[in-house]
Formats: sequence, structure tokens, C-alpha cells
Amino acid sequence: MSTGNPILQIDNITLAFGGVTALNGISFDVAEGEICAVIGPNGAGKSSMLNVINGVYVPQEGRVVFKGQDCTKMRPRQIAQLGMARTFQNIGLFQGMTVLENILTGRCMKIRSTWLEQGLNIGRARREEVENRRAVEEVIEFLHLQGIRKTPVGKLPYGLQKRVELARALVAEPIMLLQDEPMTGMNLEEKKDMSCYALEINREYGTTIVLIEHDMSVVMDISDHVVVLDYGAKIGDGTPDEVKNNQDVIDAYLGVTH
Amino acid sequence: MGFDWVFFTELIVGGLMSGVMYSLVAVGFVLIYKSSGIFNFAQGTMLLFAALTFVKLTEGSVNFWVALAVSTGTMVVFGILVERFMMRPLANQSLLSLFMATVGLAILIEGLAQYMWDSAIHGLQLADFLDLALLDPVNMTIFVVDYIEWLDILISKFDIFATIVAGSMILILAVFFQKTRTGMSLRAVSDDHLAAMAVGIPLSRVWALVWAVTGIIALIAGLLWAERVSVSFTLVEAVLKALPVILIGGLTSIPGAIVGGLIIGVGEKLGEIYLGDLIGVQGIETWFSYFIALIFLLFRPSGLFGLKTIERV
Repeated sequence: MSTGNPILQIDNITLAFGGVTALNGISFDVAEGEICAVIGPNGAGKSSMLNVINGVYVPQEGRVVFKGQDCTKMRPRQIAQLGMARTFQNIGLFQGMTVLENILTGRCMKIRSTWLEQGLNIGRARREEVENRRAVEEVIEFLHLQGIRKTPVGKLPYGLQKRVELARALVAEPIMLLQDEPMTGMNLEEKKDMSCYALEINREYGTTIVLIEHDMSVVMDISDHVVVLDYGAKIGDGTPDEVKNNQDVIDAYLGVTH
Repeated sequence: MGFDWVFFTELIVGGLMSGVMYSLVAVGFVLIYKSSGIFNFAQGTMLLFAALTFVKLTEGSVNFWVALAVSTGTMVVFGILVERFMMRPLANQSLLSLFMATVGLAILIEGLAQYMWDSAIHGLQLADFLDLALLDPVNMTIFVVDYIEWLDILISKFDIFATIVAGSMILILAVFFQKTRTGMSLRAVSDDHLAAMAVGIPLSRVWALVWAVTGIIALIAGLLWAERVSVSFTLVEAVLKALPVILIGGLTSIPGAIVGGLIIGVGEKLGEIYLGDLIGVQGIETWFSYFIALIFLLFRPSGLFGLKTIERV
């Protein structure tokens, strides 16, 4: 699926919070159409990396280039407009809304009609509403959420909430999807489902996926490309097989005797 | 002595009309709460500031419509400034910080109002401007002027006018925030700032809009209420009347604010007359609304239309 052209370039990123250096001179490329896993032990800087890509944090040094555009200093909304969607580690759903409403918010950038048209339900607003509903239904079907459309998300079990969050990201028809630990806290079966969805999204829509995981076994099967972080530094970068045999990576995961 | 149905109807109508006024103020609270999850402590002072701006302009013999336009503009600018200098730096901070910021904002506006204008008590006869003849300013809150023939009830023209203005404003707001994308964004923003930004919701624009709209509500409510309580710091306290309203209706619901307002409006009138007689106490009206709210809270802690957030432990 990968075309080999880099769609996302991370160039020498350094991010510090006060005296703590979360990311130290990290560089890697993500090719268009690939599934790239960023892995590493707890506290390796994985989530910080994702937050830099998506514009939540502005790094002290380095550049993030997405689709050839420097977006290092862009705000999350601007980056979303370029076609990047994300999910959160601790689930960033809108708890007061139903599943359907949550997914609908993902369409908010597709709306061009004015509030007057929306209030009176005329013109572009009506067409957009039809189009948005169609897109939402497609995603609902894709992720098998049919039975819970009207359920408030707060009532759903954890695994399903994660899936709804994925649906909200997908409905925006992103070019690139960032997933922050999509499988954490799930049982084996849910993990399998989630991996399948990632693969299907990648194949069917050609969406480039960057996902974070600290469970190595899960991601090795589905990733084209693995980047390993440890203590804010990059210690491995390559195909799953290359990374598996990398001594630094093995040390970081299993520990070494000093 | 039979039951005085005419008097009873008059109470109900009067209650409903003051209820609409409560609803309008309550909607101001609801909008801020919906968009940022905080109780806006500065609502009362915003009301005073807006009304005072208008009054001082008209006292400076500015034309009524010009004064209205200028004070509306002032409140819109105010909304944009609040977003830029208060909300934006505090995005993703704890709700308590945001709430404390509104306390600070209240003090700031209070000082600003005194500095720009003054702290004297101003009368505002909106009816004069609008050429609505009010006969006797002393009794005007309940009766006077006009007969509705078929029911024999006495209602002041100004009350009818105020009800229509407040009512249509609430309706427009309700439609706007239920039907448009902005309404949905509003709820999303209050639930999770970070996720809302990642989805692409324009956080700054939503907040600026909400604060500007709240400012305009404050202006309209301030002008309509000033008729009864004059433009002074009592106006700030008058706003507290909206507190039981949102407790009953639920902090997050515009329909709730409407229903809550009507319940309080009617409830306190009926309580004053009938319950007051029964237990031999007068002036029940001042605390009875809180009592009603307390009863509702016992059975519906999140209000009639309030959002029940489910927390998993």
C-alpha cells in the first residue's frame, strides 16, 4: 500500500517541559499509505511525539512537515484541516452526547453552510446534512456500531468507546490517522478487532496510519514500519523484522545487566 | 367566599411573564455553562455594565437607537476580549481556574463600570422611549394600564412588551443553538477542549460567539429589568433570581431554562399569595424560589432537562 513517498517528515524534534526533555532530536519519515507504529516502554515520549505531530505541543527545535507543508507551529484545528485526524489515549469523546452525535462532530470541517441556512434548514445546509448522515452511516456500518447509535457514549464499555472515537476520526475522511494506544486496556479479542480495523482502513481508504503502542506483539503483525523510542530518543527505525533483531530495542524492552 | 378565578388567572399570567424574564437571564448562564462547563459569576455585573452603558448614553442625549447599537457593539467587543484574554489562556486548565477567572471578571467589570460611568442609581424608563404609556410607575410591576377584555385581567403594556422581546429572543437562541453546527460545537467544546480542537472545531470562535451573545442577552435583560429595579447594583442581585431557575431546568439546557423560568415565575407568585396566607408570613416571594429549587434538587439533582453525566469508577 505504501508508495514510498514521505507524507510526514519529522525532522530533529526536541521537546522539553521545564527541565525534562521528553523528545530529544527525533527524526523519521512516514511514507504515504503505510502503517507506522511508534513503540517504546512507558515514558519513552510516544504520546508527546503524537501531540507534536497533531499540534497540541510546539517543539522547541525541529520541524514537522505534513504533505510538504511545514506545520510545526500550526494549531490542532489547522492541522485537522490539512487532513489529519486522531484518537486519544484516554478517550477524547464528548461524554454528554450519543454515539451518533459524537461521530457527527467529526464532519464539522466539511460544513460550508452558514448558521442561517442551518437554522432554517434550507439550501446548502440540507444537502450537507444528507451528505453528513450518509458518511456517518457508512462509518457506523464499517465499524459495526449499528446497535448503539442513540446510546450516550458514557454508558458504553471501554472497548466500544474506543471504537466510537475511531469512527469520529474516520468520518472526517482523513489522509492520515493518528491513534494513541488504540488497544490499551482491551482484551485479546478486542485487540484483534482493532488491528483488523486498522488494516482495513489502510487498505480500503488508503489512509496512512501512525499508531502508538507499547505492546510489541500486537503491532508487529500489522505495521509496515516501526519506530522505537526510549527515554525520548530514537533507538530503532525500520521494518518489523529489522526492529525485532535490533539489539538496542531488545535491551530497552528486556533490560540489560550493567 | 368563592375562589377568585380572575385574580388567580392574573397571578398566573403575571407569573408567566416574570418567568420569561428569569428564563432570559438563565439562558445567559446556560450558554456559558454549556460551552465551558463553568458557572459565570460575572453575569450580574455584565447586566449592570450593559444597562449602565445604555443609560449613560441616553442621558448624554444620544438617540435611542444609536445608544442601543453602541451598547450592543460594546458587548460584542467585550465578548471577543473575554475570549482572547481570559478563555484562550485558560483553555485546558481546571474548571476551578476558569470559575475563579469569572469571579475576577465580575470585580473587573464592576470597577470598570464605576470608572467609565458612575455608581449612582439611574432610573430607566424604557417605556418612555418606546412610547408605551405607563400610568403609574409605583404599581407598574403587577397591574395597571391595559385590559384584556375577555378575561378582565389587568396587565401593563410594558410587561407584555418585555415578555414578547424576551420570549422571541429566547426562541431565536434556542433554534440557533439546537439546529446549527455551532450548537453542536458548543456541547463538544464543553465536554473536551482538546478533542474538540482535534476534530477541527474552532474553539476560539465558539467561545467568542458565546460570550458576545451572552453580552447581548445581558444588555436586553438589563434594560427590561431596569424598568423594575432601576440601574444600580441591585441589578446584580436581581440576577441571582436566575439561580433557582437553572437549578430546576438543568445547567445545560435551554429548554430547561425556559421551563424553569416559568415554574419559578408562577411558583413564587402563587406562593406569595396562597402559601403566605396559609402560614401567615409575608414576603415569601424573596426566598420561595430557592425553596422550589431545593425540592427539585432532592428529586432531580441534575435538573429537569439537565445532562446526567455517567462517571465510571
